[in-house]
Amino acid sequence: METKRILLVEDNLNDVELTLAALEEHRLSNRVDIVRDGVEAMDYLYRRGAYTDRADSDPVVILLDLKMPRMDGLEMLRRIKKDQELKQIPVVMLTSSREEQDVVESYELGVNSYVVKPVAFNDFVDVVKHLGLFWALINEPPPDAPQKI
Amino acid sequence: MTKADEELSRAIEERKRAEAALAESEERFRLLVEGLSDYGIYMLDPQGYIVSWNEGAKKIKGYQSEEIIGRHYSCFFAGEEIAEGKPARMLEEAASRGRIESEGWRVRKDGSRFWVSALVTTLRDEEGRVRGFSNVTRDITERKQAEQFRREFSLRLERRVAERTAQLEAANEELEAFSYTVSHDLRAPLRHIDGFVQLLKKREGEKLDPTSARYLRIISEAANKMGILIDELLALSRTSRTDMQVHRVELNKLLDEARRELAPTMANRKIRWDISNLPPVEGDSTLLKVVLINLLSNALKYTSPLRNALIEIGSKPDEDGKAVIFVKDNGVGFNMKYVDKLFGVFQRLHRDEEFEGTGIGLATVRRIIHRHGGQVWAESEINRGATFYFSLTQSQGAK
Repeated sequence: METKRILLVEDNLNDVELTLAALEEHRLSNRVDIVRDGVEAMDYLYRRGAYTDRADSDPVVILLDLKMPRMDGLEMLRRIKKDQELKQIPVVMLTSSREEQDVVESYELGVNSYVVKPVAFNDFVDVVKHLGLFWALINEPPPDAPQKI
Repeated sequence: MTKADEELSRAIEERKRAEAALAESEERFRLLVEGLSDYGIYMLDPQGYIVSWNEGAKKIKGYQSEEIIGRHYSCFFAGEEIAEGKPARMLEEAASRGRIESEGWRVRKDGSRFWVSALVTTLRDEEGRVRGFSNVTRDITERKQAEQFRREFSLRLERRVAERTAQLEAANEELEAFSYTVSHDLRAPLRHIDGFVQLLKKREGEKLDPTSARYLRIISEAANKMGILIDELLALSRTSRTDMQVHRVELNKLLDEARRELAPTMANRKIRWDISNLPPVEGDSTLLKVVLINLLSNALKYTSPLRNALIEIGSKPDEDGKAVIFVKDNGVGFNMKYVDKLFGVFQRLHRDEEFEGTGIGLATVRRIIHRHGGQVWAESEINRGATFYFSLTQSQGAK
């Protein structure tokens, strides 16, 4: 059976660890691929550089941080939604920012969901649970999603 | 004397009288022209040489008639204009068009410049040949300087406004960048604190002694509290960024002003007002007027389908000693299920087709009241009116 992967794009190691811990509460952490900024994420998606031999199919969801070095979340979102194939992959902004400008811009760029990470970890676990379960297990990916194995 | 002789002598007499009359008229005209001192009037021959010169020309250009008559009129122009052939061109144009008007810098005898308004008219003989040009000039340097001064002044003013605007924009941008940074970067460490505390608690579980568990709970609570503080700080910074000028505010007076400002929206409407005496409060009168205007215009808006609109404004003290002001209407109301959305930015409980609005008004009300340390809330039932409450600190001081 094909594994449904979650791509986590996050530069902060603390956040990576907490997100994994939250996903682990729902037995989802083993499905997560982690990249540390937008550039690496694009390499992953296009199977370039270190990811030339990536075998799995495209992730069922991309969890995207906003502020990252080299290429930030908004820029990455813009590139994904411009790409005919990649734009099928649901993108969830998972960020600290409640700033209206970020929310508005994300939706304008076609984000599928915008989630503000709550300060309280238990709330965060709940959020991640909904996200993980919904996107990884419940949501049916688009039928024409590229299946490259 | 023969009859013929008589006629001849009469004709001669008539001719003499006519000539005398003409000479007199010419003399009068010459005196008039020469005497005009505000207008420089001089004649040119077809080639542009000066043939006559009046008092005004003398005054304006500084030449006596004996030193200027016979010279070419290009001596009034600046060197660069002579070089590009302007004097000759003006005469050509006057000849072809009959007359030209122009403004420009000219040079006086002493070399100083002045701004002139000139009218050059072509004089022709009966066969239509150019006999010369008349030139009427006026020194309007003062007017020109006033214009220039005005232009420079408004230019300076514009520049200053632009500078100030740029400064303000820069300050605003800094503030935006600041709250953006707060929003992004200050919240993250708090999340990490609480996150790892929770992970630690989970990992140690039963092994934690009660004191350690209490410490962890305090750390976690503090982090969450700071998260809330950051959020409120951001909301506050987004409110109108003017400094608050807090004074004693007479709400009834402010209410009158607000109603006056809303008068145009009440035209052709029957509205019963029931306004009680309101207590004086502490606040920024400009901002509080915005609150009243928003609440009143809401009440007016949502009672607009009614024939007998009733708007009540009153107050009651609350348990903390604050003044609670309410604005109550008998309008269409709203479903209390959505009361939480009521004060959110861009949140609307009615479609634009029913009632126009931007969804900013009540959010603004809330922000301002929060800035004053007060609260806002609302109660309603569909089709049975709505009541909006806000609380403010009562003014204790004397008037």
